[in-house]
Amino acid sequence: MKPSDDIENIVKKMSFKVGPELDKDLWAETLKARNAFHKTILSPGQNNIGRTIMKSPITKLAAAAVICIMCLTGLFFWKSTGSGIALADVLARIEQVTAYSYQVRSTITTPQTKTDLKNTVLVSQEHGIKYASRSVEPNNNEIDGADAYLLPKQNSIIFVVHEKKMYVRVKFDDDKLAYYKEQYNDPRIIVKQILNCDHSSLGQSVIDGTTVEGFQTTDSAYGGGFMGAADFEGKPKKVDVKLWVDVNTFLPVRVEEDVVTKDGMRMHEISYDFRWNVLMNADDFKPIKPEGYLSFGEVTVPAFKEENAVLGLRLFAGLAGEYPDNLDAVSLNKKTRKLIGFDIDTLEDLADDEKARLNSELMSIMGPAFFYEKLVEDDMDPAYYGKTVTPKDADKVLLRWKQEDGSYRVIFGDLRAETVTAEELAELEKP
Amino acid sequence: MIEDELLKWKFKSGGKDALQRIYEKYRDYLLTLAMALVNDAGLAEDIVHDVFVTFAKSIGTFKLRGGLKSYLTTCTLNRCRDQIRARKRQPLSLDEDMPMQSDFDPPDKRMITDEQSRLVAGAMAQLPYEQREVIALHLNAAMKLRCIAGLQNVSVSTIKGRYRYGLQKLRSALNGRL
Repeated sequence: MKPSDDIENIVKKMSFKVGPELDKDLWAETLKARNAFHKTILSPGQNNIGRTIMKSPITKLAAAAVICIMCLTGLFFWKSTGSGIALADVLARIEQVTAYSYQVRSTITTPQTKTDLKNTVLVSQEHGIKYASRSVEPNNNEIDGADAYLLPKQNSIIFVVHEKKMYVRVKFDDDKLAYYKEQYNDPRIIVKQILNCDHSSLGQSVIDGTTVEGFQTTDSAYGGGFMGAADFEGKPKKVDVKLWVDVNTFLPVRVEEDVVTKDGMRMHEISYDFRWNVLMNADDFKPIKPEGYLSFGEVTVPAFKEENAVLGLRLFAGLAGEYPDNLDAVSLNKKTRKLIGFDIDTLEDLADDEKARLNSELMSIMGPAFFYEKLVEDDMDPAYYGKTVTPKDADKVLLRWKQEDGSYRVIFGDLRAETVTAEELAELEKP
Repeated sequence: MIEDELLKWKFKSGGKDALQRIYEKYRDYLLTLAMALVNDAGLAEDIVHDVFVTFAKSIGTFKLRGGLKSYLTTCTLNRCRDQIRARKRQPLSLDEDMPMQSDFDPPDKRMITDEQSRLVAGAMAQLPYEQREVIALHLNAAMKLRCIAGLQNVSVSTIKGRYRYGLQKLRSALNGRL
């Protein structure tokens, strides 16, 4: 047979592949178009809680901010999870709901401690999110823990910490609050996370008289719930998440999460008593600051930018004479508070402007932690060498990350920044 | 198919990874399809570029019930038709032959191909556009003749005829050259 007799196969085999140079250009343009769109739709002032964009980097950033508050207040303020199911349809269904509430029971166990929390969550697309947490003592007594109010119209979150009789307002820049609202313990995040993971069906069952269908994931890539804290220190050691959905309404009925972090902390959480499309008004989201509570002042989380990372490193080095060992938000927060003399116990004695100064200083130094977390979340191949690089090591790589064009941005020991190729970076990082 | 459904959902949710996966999965396919239809390296490159850029921008309004591959194929097809119309700068006459000589540079840095593919693309360029489109969509895009009939707004028997005649011309154009 002559080749031309098999003409159909010959045409089928025709192949033109995108070469490396073209590939680079095409992808860069495509990404640019996508990023331009993201930038536009996430511009400041757009505070629609119902926005459906999920940008996981901010989960961790928001979590980092909250962890800062936890560190500041000394309170282990805990969050709950949402819910999910079959699964794209459930997601679509949830997105139509304008207001809902649910209960959460959380148990956090470490080798040394066990914490039980009972939480109530109200979510309104119009008014915001209210999260009330109560700790449950071994004798089942419940004690007010902390309330959090995410207020879209004020671009801020207010934490009222009953245990410490204090409150603090956290302000977010630009579009971060919009992301934060999206991520704030939203059941949609759980559904999206399960969708992103290997998951299986648990079949049908009945919960409180409601026929439900279950879904389960044990994929360690799961990062939903717990406000991203489950993998805050890296991928969890164990994940078991079950989601039960009403077969008639396609809305979550119950979510069970059991996560063991790589450090051995176990977080078990059950979300239940979901009430969908309930009536809520502005008063439900009005922060209640009981009389006599101490104001912790206002905290502004710095933008997640290179310059803020460099500023934070410079400030830290100025105080400590060295760079932080690592950029973990919790440990950096503790070290910084020690360095700047930010003692929670004496806060009451400080004037408001002094509180503001300390808050500002603390958050400025936290800049690199927030920035690094964003790099990790954006999968930008970051590396930080604060353990071995000091301010005297002018030409050593202190922090680096990959940019969209494949080059690397490098912050050196003397805090100057340069863009280098991957090959040049390999040379720079040679021991 | 399942992967595409997931990619669609992830893309709509704003996932950069999903966009990258879609791009990587379909870039070569779309380039081949564009080359089969226009046999012009620069034009094919522009077409694939436009398809992906437009797709990336559609993230906020993206509502796709059909298949991802079909969607991208149709986008590419429409742009090829537009480009051919624009190139001719005269009322559309899809039956006019395209030049046999391709201005596609031999495998250079921007595209990777082989001699046979270049010859086939060149031979396809000799076909009337409508025959070329039927062959490319059926053989390169694995589209059913019935669907192609819908796209060209003609009967299935007309499509079958265009396919058969097109193949005959291709066979004779390539005879002795492969």
